[in-house]
Amino acid sequence: MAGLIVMGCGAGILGALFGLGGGIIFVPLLMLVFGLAPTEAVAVSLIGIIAGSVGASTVFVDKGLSNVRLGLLLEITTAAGAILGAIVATLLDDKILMVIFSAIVIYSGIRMILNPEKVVEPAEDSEGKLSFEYRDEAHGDSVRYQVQNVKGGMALCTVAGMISSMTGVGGGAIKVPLMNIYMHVPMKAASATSSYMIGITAFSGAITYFLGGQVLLEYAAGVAIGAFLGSLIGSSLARRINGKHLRKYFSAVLFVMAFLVLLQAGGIL
Amino acid sequence: MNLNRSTALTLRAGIVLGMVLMVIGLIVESTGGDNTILHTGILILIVSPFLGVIVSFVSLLSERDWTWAVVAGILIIITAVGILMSL
Repeated sequence: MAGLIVMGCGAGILGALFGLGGGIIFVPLLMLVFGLAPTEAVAVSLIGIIAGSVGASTVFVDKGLSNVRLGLLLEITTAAGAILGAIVATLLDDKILMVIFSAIVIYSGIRMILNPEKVVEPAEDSEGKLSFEYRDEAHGDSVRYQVQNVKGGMALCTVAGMISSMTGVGGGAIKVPLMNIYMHVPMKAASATSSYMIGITAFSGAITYFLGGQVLLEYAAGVAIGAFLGSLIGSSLARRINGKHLRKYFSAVLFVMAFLVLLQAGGIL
Repeated sequence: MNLNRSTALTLRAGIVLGMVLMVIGLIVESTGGDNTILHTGILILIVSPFLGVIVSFVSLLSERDWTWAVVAGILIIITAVGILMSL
């Protein structure tokens, strides 16, 4: 139980800081260290992801760091992509998808290192539907931003949803750079919004496993308790961290993720 | 209550209740009891994000923020369809 809580805690911290679910950590560890079957590991992992997401979102949503409206909008196409992914999953090889995923993630990481963040400030009197604001606790100022390329972003979220549902990894790893690089959402808001979204994405899968009686309750509880504790630590760190630094660390995490997924694709993990 | 406050409150209620029941459930189970409490705690945790979306939807309706209320409504429908398809 202690091991499950520690693992959950680590994933919860990462999830809250970077807007990642942690499935990439949970699933192989649950299989290799705790001896779970793949389906059991995925089911337990989804519940850990929900605990981390909900734990972080109680803070992020309340403080306005998570953009609930944008999250709901992008979640529509993500969910549609996931359904589409489940339908066509049998037609495509998992390994090819994992390589595509890694390529996207590496590209995003490089872009985040090379290109400085670009945030479009709404006009002073703008009350547009896509103008948002949050208070950055790192420097105490309000940050206003106008979301760009919404249609394209929604379309790309369909692809993100498809890839995630087919490979079981990477909702956040695709959505955070997408929001930050392409839709010009500030890094802190992008990762907090992703943190909020991944709980909704994971809910669909988790409830199906739960109703099917495929959830190992004790494992799920251990991971969830750990992920919740981790999310409290992570969200507290995330509120205070400088967005520039967060972006830099995030790109490093992306490279590690791509490496892990390639190891999985190669059958090593 | 505004969108962020009501959504955050729902998520907080879900995670706190879920966690408390999970901890109690683990203790009960370790002393030889059944797993009903643990089962309920995990179910409450799982449904929290979706309950959050439903509360967001209601909150947006009450704010008469029609565009975003439609967005939340569509998401509820798509999520429900996705679950029904996978059952």
